[in-house]
Amino acid sequence: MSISAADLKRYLLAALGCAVLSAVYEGFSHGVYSVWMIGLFLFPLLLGALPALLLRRARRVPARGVRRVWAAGVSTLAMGSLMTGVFEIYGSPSPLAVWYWPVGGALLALAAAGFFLEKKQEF
Amino acid sequence: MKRFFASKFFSAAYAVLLLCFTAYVLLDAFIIPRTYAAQSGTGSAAVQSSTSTASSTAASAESQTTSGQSVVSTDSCYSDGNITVTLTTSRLDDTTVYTADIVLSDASYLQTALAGAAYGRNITAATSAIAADSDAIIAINGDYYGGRAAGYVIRNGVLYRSTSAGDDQQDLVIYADGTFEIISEGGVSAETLLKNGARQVFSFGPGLVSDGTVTVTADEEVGRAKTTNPRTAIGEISPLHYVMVVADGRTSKSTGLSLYELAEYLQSLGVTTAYNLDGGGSSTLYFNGQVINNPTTNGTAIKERKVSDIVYIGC
Repeated sequence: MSISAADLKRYLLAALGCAVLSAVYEGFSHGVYSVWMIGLFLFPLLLGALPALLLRRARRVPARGVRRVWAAGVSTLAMGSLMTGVFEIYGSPSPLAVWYWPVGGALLALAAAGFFLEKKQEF
Repeated sequence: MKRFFASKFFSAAYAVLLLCFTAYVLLDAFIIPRTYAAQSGTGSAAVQSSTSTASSTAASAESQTTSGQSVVSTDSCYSDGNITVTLTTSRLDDTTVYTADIVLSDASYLQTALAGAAYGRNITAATSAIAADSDAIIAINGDYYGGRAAGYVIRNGVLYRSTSAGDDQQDLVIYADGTFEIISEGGVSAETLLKNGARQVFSFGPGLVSDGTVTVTADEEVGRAKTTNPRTAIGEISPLHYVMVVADGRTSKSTGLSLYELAEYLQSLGVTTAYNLDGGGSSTLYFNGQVINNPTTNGTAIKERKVSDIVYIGC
């Protein structure tokens, strides 16, 4: 299995796990809904699996460091979505939960910069 | 630097960092208690005077009680000459509703109490525990102010929080003479309310009845809640005549009420003003040393949830 396929599989599994987690959480939230909880699975799906699929089609393999930083960013944003959902359902915002978004965004930006600046490498 | 990001150590270290931060966010939000001081300002003088008035009134009430007023106390009523409480249980469709009709001789008997007698975040106790500490005759859970970072908080004439939760946030104001009013935080500051004689301000809502008219629509709900739920509400029928209403919910025996159903029920009791307090697992009614309803915590388990504050009747 190529690195790209392994990444794709990992992100798809993460998306599935997130979907199950949000379904269970919403199931016990007495009809209180949060789009952040419901849409949790979209982070690993759209920011993880989709880019991995596109890179696979483009036959490009980002450097290992770029992939790790990107994964850290996706994880941070997904965790931010989960926490925002939890606090929305609970009915009380947390001032600390906002930090997931800039940190996750910065990691994605860092990884994207590394990707575009690195020498093109095909697999 | 490239080597660092490419190493497994980076991924592992970042995962640990992310989990630790998330654990701290959750602990900060739900567990770590933080006590805050009451706000000083224009209300402090009024606070002291109103507190001392309440103390002297309570003292006189105590002496009246001990100097010959007979106390009648049963499972469904209480009367001591100054406070009369009549408790009824009824079924509204498939929901059990507990209604306490309360008549007072003085507004100072309508009081509030904070968990641990302190204002802060994550300072909670069961409604029955706070009520017992306050020698309450009857009590309901309050607005769970500690679950939110904004919204006016005035309790027993002390201003604790003046941060607005937004122009649309509807608050219940109970004035020193015992009259109720529902206001929007966008229209008035907490300091002004205190200056105008507010003794209690609750920031949950919404207001259910104003001037005898239902003020919620059939599809209106608290936050994102879209289903029937356990409810707690308080209303004023006439000067010094109040009702406390608690509805069980989230169980097979009692499904709960929508806000509109609750408002219609309160209107049928003849209230002029009524307000929705914190519901769900917080909804608790305490009377004569016992929890009367079936509060649900963590799903459908019949257990009291710890709350930030209560509204009670006591000397």
